[in-house]
Amino acid sequence: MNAVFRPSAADLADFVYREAHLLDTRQFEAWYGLFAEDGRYWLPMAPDQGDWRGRQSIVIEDKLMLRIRVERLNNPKVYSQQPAVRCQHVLQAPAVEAADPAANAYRTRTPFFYAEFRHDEQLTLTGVVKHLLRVEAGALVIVEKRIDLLNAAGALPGIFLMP
Amino acid sequence: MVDYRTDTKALKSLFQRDRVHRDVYLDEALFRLEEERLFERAWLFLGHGSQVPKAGDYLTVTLMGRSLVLVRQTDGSLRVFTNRCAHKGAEIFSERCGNTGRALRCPYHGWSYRLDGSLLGVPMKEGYEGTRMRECEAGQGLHRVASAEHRGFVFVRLSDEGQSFQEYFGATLSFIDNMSDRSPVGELEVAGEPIRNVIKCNWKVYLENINDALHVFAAHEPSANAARAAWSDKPDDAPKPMAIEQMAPFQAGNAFMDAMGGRVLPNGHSIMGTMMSTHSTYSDVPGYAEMMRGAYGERAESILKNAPQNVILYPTLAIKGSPQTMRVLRPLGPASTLVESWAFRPKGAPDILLERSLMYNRITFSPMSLLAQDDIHVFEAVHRGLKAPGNEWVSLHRGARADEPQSGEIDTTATNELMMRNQYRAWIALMTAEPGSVATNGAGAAH
Repeated sequence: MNAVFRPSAADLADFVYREAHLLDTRQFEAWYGLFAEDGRYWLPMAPDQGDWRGRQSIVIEDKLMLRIRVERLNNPKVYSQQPAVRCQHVLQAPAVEAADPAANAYRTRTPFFYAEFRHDEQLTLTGVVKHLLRVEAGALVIVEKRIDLLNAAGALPGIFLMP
Repeated sequence: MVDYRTDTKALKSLFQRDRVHRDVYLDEALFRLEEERLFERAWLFLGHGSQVPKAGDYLTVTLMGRSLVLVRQTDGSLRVFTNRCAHKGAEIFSERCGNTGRALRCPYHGWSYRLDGSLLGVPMKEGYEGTRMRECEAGQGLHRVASAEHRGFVFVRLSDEGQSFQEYFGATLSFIDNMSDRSPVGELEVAGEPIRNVIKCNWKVYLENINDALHVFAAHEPSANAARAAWSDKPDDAPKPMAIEQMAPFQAGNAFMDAMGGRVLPNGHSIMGTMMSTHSTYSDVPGYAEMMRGAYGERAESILKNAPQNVILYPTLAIKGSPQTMRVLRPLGPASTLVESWAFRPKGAPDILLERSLMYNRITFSPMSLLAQDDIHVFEAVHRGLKAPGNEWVSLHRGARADEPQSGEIDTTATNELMMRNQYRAWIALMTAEPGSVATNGAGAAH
């Protein structure tokens, strides 16, 4: 095994698939573990939104806020998860937009459909998820997961898990 | 079946001093009646002047199914029109906002209007020679809607009749002043588009909850506990990140919530947090207090100390002076309510004030916010639960003693359901006022 892990396109795609799989199977602790200490989870309100500062986003969460999100989902007393909400990501093959081992930065772009089932109703969202990944201790971690929903600027219903 | 349109007695009996009938939340015909009466006669928030800074700037808003447009005039004033061509009814603007230059032009047959709404031109105008077009509605230009502006906040009254703007809102306007005065130059700027969330509940379920201090601990405990758990390994004196500072007070408990204090005002308005609120405990922003003292002198302290939990400008607006956020209710149907969460930048103030506003909206009002998930769950649970027969009444008994004044400005505790009863007194007044009379909320409004 090489001393330095240089992820291939297949490695990057596998990571993106695994990340979605962890959410779809409610393995929230493992999902949280995929984020770098400075990692962020972001749903902007516009596809051209370059920064989360100074304007509204649907979500922009650092590791602390993701910790709160996961702590809450782990609590069986959370009424809004009674019955437990389930989700399903359906991903197009991730395209590697940038792979720069020198900068330790890898970008993928993955069109998706996302469905959430709650109280006998299904919500469907679609869009593009953009991962910015880096290698830490021989494994990929998420620096930023950005989800551009097709209807991010629209009036959204409550979303109870994570696209 | 009761016909509330014609049976005023039945309509008035829907609210009985300390309880409200489930029909006000569920009945389709009552929602249509609210559209025709309550939402026509009340003053509704439309938009903010900072969204249309230059002459010719416009903003379109759909309000109770009506397409409206706010247009900045060449003299700097604002006008609101129905976004409907006088010719065949097509919407003139379909973008949410933009600049129309010196004229408004209909995309259908090219009729054009001046910024003041008057008809500017029609193609091949000789075709109207010898016709009644100029005397009829078509020749009168765009239909103008009554509007009023206070510190940049623009409101409309869809009906030609009803209370004046000042009379309708009265002292609640001082809370718009408070939010605006948090800028050292006294001006707010809307920070981009609002976050929009559609909830499957009646608008009144949402509105009641805005001044419902007792739901906080019960409904949000798991979210507040999660915030505490995520921060539990930090020393007590560690500076709290903004997210923790904003979420931790949600577990303050019922005694704190009660002591925040409340006040009702005529026409359904109310203030929760007259004494203190979860917003009172935010850390000082370096340099801000000095900046405010420089701008306002001794008044600065009272501006900054005045931080209620929520101020409801009945029926569709709720504001927080700190952090500068605002919720606008856009009822879509008896079981569908659009909630817009607006963020404001106080001009000239440190950037962190805007960041607090943005953070608060994401944490509490965004469709993915943990606290909103708690709320959406119970609002939708209310809607499902109310459908069951057996008990047709919603209880608003808390604090409703026999000697409770039925009108006027009243100070109370923050957990007294008087704030909700006060909403229903206004509801009855606006729903039952005879055409031609002025809808008032009892004697208190008649000053």
